[in-house]
Amino acid sequence: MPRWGMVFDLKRCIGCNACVVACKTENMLPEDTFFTRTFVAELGAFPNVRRVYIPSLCNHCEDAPCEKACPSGATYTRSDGIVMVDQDKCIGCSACAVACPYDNRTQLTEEKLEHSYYGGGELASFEEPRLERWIAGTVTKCDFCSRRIDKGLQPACVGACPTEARIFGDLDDPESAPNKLIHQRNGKPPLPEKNTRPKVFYVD
Amino acid sequence: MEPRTESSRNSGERWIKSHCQQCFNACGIVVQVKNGKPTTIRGDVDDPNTHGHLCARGLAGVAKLYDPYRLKTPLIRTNPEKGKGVDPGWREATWDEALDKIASKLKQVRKENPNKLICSLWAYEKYIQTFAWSAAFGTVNGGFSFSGVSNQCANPNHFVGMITHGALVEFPDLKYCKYLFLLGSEYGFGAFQSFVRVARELADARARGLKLVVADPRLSVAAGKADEWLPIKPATDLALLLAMIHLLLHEYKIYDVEWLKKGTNAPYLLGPDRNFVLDAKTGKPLIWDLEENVAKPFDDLTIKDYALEGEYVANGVNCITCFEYLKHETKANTPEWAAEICDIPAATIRRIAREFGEAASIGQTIIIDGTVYPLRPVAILSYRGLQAHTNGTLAMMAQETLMMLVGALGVPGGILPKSMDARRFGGAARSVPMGSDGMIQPAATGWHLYTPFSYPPKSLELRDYAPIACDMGHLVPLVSLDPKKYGIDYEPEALIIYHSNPFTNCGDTSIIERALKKLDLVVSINIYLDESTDFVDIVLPEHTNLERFNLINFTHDMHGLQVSQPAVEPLYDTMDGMDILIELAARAEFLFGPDGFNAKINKTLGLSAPYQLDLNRKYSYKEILDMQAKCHSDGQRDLAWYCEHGNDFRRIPTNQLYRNYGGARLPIFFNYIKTVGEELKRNLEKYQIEARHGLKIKTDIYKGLPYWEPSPVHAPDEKFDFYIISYKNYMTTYADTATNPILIDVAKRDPYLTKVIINSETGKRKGLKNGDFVWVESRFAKVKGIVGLSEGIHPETAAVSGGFGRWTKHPVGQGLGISQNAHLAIDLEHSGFMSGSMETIGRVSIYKCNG
Amino acid sequence: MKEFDIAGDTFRLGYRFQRHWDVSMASAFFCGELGAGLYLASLAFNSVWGLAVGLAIVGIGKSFFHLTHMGVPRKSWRAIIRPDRSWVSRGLIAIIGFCGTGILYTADLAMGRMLPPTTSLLLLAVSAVCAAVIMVYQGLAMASSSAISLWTIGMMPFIGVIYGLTSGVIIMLARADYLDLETARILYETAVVALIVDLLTIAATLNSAFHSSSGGRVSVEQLTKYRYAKWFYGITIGLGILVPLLALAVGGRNFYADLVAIGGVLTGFYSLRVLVLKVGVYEPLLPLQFV
Repeated sequence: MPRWGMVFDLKRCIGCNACVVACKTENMLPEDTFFTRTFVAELGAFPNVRRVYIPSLCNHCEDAPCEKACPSGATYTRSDGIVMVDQDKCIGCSACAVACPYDNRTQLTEEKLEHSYYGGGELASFEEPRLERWIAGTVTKCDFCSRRIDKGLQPACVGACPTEARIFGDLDDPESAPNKLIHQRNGKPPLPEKNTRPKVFYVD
Repeated sequence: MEPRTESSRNSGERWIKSHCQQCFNACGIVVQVKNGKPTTIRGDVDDPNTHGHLCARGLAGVAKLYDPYRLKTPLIRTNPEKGKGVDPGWREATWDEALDKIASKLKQVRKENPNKLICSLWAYEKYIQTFAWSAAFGTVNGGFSFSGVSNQCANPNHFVGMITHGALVEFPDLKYCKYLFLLGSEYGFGAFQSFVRVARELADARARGLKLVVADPRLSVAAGKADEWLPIKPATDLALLLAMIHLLLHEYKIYDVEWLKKGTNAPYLLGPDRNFVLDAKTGKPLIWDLEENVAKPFDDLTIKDYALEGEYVANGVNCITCFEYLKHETKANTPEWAAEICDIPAATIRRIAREFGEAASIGQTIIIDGTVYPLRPVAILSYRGLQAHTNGTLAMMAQETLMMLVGALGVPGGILPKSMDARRFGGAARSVPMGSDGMIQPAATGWHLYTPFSYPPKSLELRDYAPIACDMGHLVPLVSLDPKKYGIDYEPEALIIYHSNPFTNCGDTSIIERALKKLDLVVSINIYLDESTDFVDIVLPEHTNLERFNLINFTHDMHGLQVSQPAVEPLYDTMDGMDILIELAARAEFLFGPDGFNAKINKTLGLSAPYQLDLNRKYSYKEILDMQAKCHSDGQRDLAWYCEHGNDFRRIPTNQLYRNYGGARLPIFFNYIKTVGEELKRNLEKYQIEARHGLKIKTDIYKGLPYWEPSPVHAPDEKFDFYIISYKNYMTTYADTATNPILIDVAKRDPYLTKVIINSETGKRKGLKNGDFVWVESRFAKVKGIVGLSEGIHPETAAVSGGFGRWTKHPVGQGLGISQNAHLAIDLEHSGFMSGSMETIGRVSIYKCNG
Repeated sequence: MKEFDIAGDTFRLGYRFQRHWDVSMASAFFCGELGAGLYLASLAFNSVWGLAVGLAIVGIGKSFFHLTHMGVPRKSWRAIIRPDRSWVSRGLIAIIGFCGTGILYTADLAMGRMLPPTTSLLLLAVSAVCAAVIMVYQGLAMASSSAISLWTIGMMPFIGVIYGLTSGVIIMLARADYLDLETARILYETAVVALIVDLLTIAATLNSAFHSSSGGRVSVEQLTKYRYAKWFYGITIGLGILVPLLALAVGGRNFYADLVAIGGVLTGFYSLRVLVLKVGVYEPLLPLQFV
């Protein structure tokens, strides 16, 4: 059984947000809702300044605080390490959302789901499937596109990324692309001081 | 397991191969269709350029198809009053009514004077075909007239690239390149050709150790990721490049002597009038043989050593070599001189020039596929930031001069040309032709590089006075207001706008407004109502990119074609834009015959028997594409084949990719420009243009060498103390995707895109805080924006993203950002008569807006 | 190191306010701690109506606000499923236990002690323990994850207990007239001490948060210097602690002064509950070693 993980190559990321849009369309997310985001920071002062783009998604922590906080049993970890939310069990208490140090949980309110992208009004036909996909009120997040993984595909954001800055694979396989990168370039998890043991790493 | 492919072919869902058509780059896509409805777009893993990756715009494409604000039927105006925000009182019409109405006006105009029709045809996936339409109609005001292509594009790139080495567009050879210097370009980071592909290649190259240096007034994406950012003052790149030339020639003496002698006109002798000195017998330009101390025709095989430098006497006149002339002319362009102009310290200029020269590794070679090539792993690439200024052509010439000096054009690791040859239609690459003077000949397919002088002038772009300007579409609204003032003897009457929006892509909107109001008939082929349709008489609704066919090749190193095909039957009563044009040509009676649209299409697409259009038969665009597919595959593949397979891209063999100049020499001295300028000067004097019309057309700019010429925006201006620049971003293709709600959902969170970005220090001095509402005021407009403070911008500059500041009724993107174009002058002073670019920098003041 | 600031909802890297737990959650917290505190204070000062009101505040008030907050209220029963790991589950069990045993105990008390003394004592003990859990579990739920540094402070559960008890004691003042003088004196003195302890608790919490991590510092600064400073000083400290202290000191056990003190303490407590949620921030994601 693999143990899925991801590496962000910050040298390659150019903040083009293709991943963000791929994720939004793959997951049929409504307006104002993101499972992955690309943060931007300017470092330094004029004229010695550079910019970094820091992509972020659910880190599928080994020691997932969201899972510990979840009172309803909706959040669980699959045998391949993907931290999942069972929509049918979620009660929408948001305890997971405030337990996640990375702010990667989001509540899909009814208001959001039924709001059309085109300034409200009726949902356009490509928006309708999201009502079947999501249960209103639940709190959810990135699941590494588990349905795609089950079909043998990579997560949508990984497939889209023009610079191949997102590298996905089996962390238990020492020869996998992410594992090699982590070792060769000293991959670091986000906010290690939070002790969540993420399965997502950054290399620079 | 590292799965990459979108291989799922579940029951009830299909994946249709196509290409994106939401910007130039034609990336391969697959469209997921469930129960007959397109649901998702992904990259096509079988596209050898993109490997299945795709940018945000492409991925969000479905939102465009299903946009409820799309036009669903032709519309005809009932309210004769045209004005910003004035309801045109649209009534729905049948196609027949709308087309006939337009055709009858076209017929009348064409009979009287075809030039009375202005065409603003800017459908980037097939603009060559639409150019053929205006050519068949017979108007000189065809192509990109009445639009801001001269604003949005980097015109000098095309012209200078073409006359230098046959390059419509240039690409660095990232496979071998080690030092890339970008000026005013987001190449590989955002808006530029082949973004998705290049982003990956450039990321690979950087990972391999390519050094990236970026000169840009703002910390662009490229600059933000670069090894070094040079925060240059807007429109002064020319000075920086001149200083680099100076350093290579005078201080460091780094240049590729062998290549300059044999591959360029550097050793050609120039007489006192700074034209080639010609051999009396053969009429060929002369070169000085250093060993025999005698002048010989350039192609004389007995020349032992070409003199690169020095003064000589030949044909009884004092001569200098082109190289000597360049040295002489750049002597004063010291880095200290440039530092004053462009705000980059002299020491930095010195270091960059040395790094660049040393990285060129002059003398090194590489063997590829059994052939030895020079290896010059340095490239300079620029785009609109360097070029779209009145001095853009000079800057582009300086850029090419630097590249030629180190011998890095057309070689592994350097800059490669993307030609205007037949490859884009499926055919093979050709070498660039050579003239009798041994020089490279400007080659062009469907692209005019030269407009002969005529008086009275025909072109509302005043190209009769600007022989080598690519486009001056932005001048058409101005000239239309009073054609006589410029010597033009007719008044324009009709305008067709196809995939363009003069209100957001040009300049001073009051001029656009008045010009549009003056025309009898304005037609818009569009997907939505936009700002310009407030001034339009008839709107024709077009298919979206997911409803139409096309074949294209936008790569620089591939043969073959790539298909676009409908993923769904048209949702509404719309037509393919090309079919609209065909229908109009048929009804206005210029489709058939030897000069008809069919004939022009045959020529443009390079269709040859037996796959040529019958000149007297009406074809649908789909049928034309089928002919094109068959023609360029020798009957092997038809449109249906491409629909199934997507593309038939094959890499161009290296012998056609590198130094494909057919022995022609490249211009260290741009003799073509010099010749054209002298001819223009004679004609202007002959017809007394200045005396008659008060038009001061500059002719001293056609020197044939780059030299420093400031932009008019550099004049001191205490009131409007900011330079305002605009930039293209990864989210919006012009305004085209600015109503895509998925993109806007992301764009509005970007800390820069919808803000007026100024330097933190400057902001502090002016009492402005991040997020403050400000007035942005110029001579032409005063608009409210939100200021964003950044460490990443030149202190006197304000940067605004393109694509925002819209005022359409479309709810998406409303109230976001401002339009920089509204602050740009449309006048002769701010037009580059050599470059064809309008000056894309404005001057504004920015101050706090209370409430 | 680079200083980041509050990034709002843009993609700028910086501190981001948590917005998942909002006013309804603060109200539920407030009701829980207030109700449980009142219940315990009522036990101490033998007030049957206090027990009843405390139970009602928890049983009705807290439940109401929790259901308002919840995304899928019809499945709220599921919150009880994971007491093994989730403080929310444990808290829910405590609430049920509290309401069950508390109602029985109070009803028995009101009806003149019909239950056997051991049963009554058991009910008393269980309800008191549950009340204590209610006061403490919310703080533990906040502190159990390291996500929001301010909340991770060890003092967080203590705030619930201290404030819950203070509120309970202060409300007792309303019927101080019915108490014997000695008890009333104890009550007043307890109230004054409780308010001082509140102040010290807040100071200790903020001090500890400020020095805990960058996120804690940003939260404290938002509370004491920037966006929420006027609310914090004006309502939480001023109206919630200083005014009641003043009222108790100079009011001379006047009924109206007591009312002012009660109103002030409850308002201050509520504001603290809201503010602690409002100023909770997520820290910037940038791995520090890359800066």
